[in-house]
Amino acid sequence: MDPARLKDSWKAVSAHGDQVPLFFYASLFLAHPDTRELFPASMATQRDRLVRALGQVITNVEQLDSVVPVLQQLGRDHRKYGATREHYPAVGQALISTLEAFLGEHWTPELAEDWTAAFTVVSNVMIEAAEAAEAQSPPWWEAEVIRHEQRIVDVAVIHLRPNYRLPYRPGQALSLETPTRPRLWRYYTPANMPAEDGVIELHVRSVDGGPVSGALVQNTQVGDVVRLGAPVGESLTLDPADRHDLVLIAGGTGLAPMKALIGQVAAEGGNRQVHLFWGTRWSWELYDLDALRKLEAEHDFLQLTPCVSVETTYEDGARATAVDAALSAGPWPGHEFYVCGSPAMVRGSLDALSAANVPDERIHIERFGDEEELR
Amino acid sequence: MTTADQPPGARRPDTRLTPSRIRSTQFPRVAVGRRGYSPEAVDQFVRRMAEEITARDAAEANLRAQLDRVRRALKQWQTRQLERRDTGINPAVTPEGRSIDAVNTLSQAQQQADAYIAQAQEYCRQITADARNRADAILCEAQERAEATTAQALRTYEARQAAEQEAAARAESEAERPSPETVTAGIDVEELDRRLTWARAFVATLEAVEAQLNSSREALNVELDALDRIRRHRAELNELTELAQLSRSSGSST
Repeated sequence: MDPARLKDSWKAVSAHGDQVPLFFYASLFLAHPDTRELFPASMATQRDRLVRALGQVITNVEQLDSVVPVLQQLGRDHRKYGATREHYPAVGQALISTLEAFLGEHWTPELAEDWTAAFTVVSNVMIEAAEAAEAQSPPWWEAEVIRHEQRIVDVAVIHLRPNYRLPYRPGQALSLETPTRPRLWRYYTPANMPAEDGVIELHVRSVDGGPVSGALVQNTQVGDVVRLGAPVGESLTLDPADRHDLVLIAGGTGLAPMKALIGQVAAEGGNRQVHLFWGTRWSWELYDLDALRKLEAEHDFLQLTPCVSVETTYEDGARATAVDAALSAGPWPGHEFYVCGSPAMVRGSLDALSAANVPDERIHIERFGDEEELR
Repeated sequence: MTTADQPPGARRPDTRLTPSRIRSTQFPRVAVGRRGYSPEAVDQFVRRMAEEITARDAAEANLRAQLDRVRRALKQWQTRQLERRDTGINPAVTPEGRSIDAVNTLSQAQQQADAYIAQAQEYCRQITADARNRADAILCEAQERAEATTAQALRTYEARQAAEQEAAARAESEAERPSPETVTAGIDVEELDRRLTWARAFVATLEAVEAQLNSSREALNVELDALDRIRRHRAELNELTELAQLSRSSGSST
């Protein structure tokens, strides 16, 4: 395998932009029509992801070991799309046809060999990871909606009961597919510790123009069945061996992982102090205030400060953003900070925290790999 | 300018602008007080760009398909020429010759579908974002008005309080200089009071004077008595002296 040749050929091909993945998927679906149903109606983002994944592999082709973890996660995630090992050769064939079509005269048998070798390595890693996961968990869980409360116009609290036990750690996210929007998966973080009855509580905000979140908030009822994927993410989890006190800064539905973490602290005996600052713009957007006040009353270790940033007549908490309220209630030496909310809120909070000289290694935010999307 | 899922500042050599990436690009907002492009105009232009690039991609794909068709047709013609020379049979059109056309047709259908879906989602996003922003603006305005009204009401109340206090203060000080009707009566009473007090004091003085006069009179009486006694004594003395003189004068004759 000649890495330089691979990279050059990829550079030449990717200069054609969106046409390459368009061609790729079209030739895949023509040759294997049964694969079309594995993908959503709109393929725009899918094309982007494919190109990016391929680009990442090719860039690191000399040290493929570095991309192996990413490929393994990709292979595991593809189980929920219904991909099986039989699909991979078809994908390889479509890839070769695409490269051939775009490279024209520059397509040589050696190049074909290089690409085939690279693709074989990638697909083997993915297939092995998928089959290893097969032994441990189903590709997806069917979960029935047992409670659906639209608390405010664009936020719903949904309780799901999966058909099998779905183990996860508080702070991890689950991908979710709703049957009204097939093949579109979005991540949501459970707002509770894994419970005896297996019920999972989700806080869903209807993103403007977002097909999945909108359907979940407005068009989902008790009795609907959704699909859940395996839990991912380690960045918002809490190490039980740790004993640090916590400052939790949440915006809107970013409350969900915080609530789960509080559950974990309670289950561990309440051996650390937890200060939760939950911020919205208006006081009526505090959609889960009752449940939180109950938690605060039940647990000594928890202190709740609702923060309202725009409404000037708010009396029952802080009149500031969550991060400003947290910083002015400080200092918090030795505390670990967890931040969750909309991307803009997280960015703003990180800026404020670093301006207050909170060290980066004490700050935890949600981080996802390149290959999957948020919401 | 960042796309929705790329860290700012990252540069990858093989990333090109695809319609999807164009539509999901987010431009940073201009700082308050700075002038910037109208967001609606920019959004509209971006949408048009996405459509144009899609169209150009499709046109390019068509051209490539045509080129491919032409090449295959040429190859077939050449092969047929050779074969005709050899066997006189026309080989069937290879299925491969159709494949790029079929691929292109499917691609175009997919692009159309993508465009419709993106348009619908964008429209939905615009409507809900608009509604949300408007609701927020209305609430903020209502809040400001409520605050202004409250402040105004507070000022009015305070002003009235001040006015009332002033009036009350004035009323109190006027109570020490009574009003005209009550003045004469007031004067009468007070004057009588004063006069009474003076009269009493005068009487007391008179009594004191009387007492003093009395004691003086007594003292005088005493003196007068004493004087009286002295006069009687002198009178007696005088009588005695006369008698004595008389006796001397008569005595000598004997």
